Amino acid sequence: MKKLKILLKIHNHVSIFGFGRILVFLFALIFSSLALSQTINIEWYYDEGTTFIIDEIYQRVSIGTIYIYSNVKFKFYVIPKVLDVQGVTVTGVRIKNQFISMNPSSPTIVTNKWIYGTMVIYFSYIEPPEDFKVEFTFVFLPL
Amino acid sequence: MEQKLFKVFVLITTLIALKSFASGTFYALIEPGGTTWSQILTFTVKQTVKVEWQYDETQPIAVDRGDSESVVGFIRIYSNKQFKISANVYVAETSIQPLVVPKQVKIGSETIGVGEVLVVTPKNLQGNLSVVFEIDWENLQAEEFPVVLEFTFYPF
Repeated sequence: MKKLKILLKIHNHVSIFGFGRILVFLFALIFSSLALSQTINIEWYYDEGTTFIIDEIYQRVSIGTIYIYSNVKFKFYVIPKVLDVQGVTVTGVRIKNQFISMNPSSPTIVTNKWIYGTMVIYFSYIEPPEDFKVEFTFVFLPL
Repeated sequence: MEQKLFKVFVLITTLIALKSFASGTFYALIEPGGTTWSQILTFTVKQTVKVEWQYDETQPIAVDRGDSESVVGFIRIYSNKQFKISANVYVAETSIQPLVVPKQVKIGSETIGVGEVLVVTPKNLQGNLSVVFEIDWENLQAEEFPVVLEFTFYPF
């Protein structure tokens, strides 16, 4: 009985001055990290390995459906880089009705935490090019 | 038991179908300095060819007796990309075939031998279209005979 009392005492002591504090600290850490960690999820529903055929009349091509979402509000921009040919420029990247900013100093702001729809790429060229590749680099920033 | 197996089969096929549906995902933390995701896509322009001719294809075309050449008229063939062209010319009537042998087709300054392939580098070919024959004038009785011109276009 005495032994148990001592044990309880030790336990109380620890829980008030040590273990409890650690717990509180841990919880605070977990919550703060949860609140701070901003994640970005991208889902695309097209075959990125396929060759996309440009509409000659409008000089644009529909890539497919893309879904970009986060747990927080975010902003982003896209940098398209034409790799194989010269004389071709990407004039716009559109997801549903929204043209995505191609300027790092004024990114597109996504206040509802998600953007979903068909991605359409707009080109500009005088002479129709041979097959070429474009690297699209999306940069996501916390708001 | 069979019904259960069938259900499993349906489930598996649906899963495979979903899996094979082209798609992908990306997941990352947004870093304060920015998180990047990039994708390289390949693009192409469909190749087309357009032919314009400024002659009446229903009218008889004279063949020069001297060099067995027949000038048809102005033609323009153009594409949005580089292309290759081959020409096939043949006399439709079998009785005339041994007497009139098509040799080559000329478009402007370019010459395409019958059955040969010409690479069109500046994407367009234009000028007077003429057909050169090898004619046995001694034995040729017919005054008029139809000739079929067949052009085939290939991607470069």
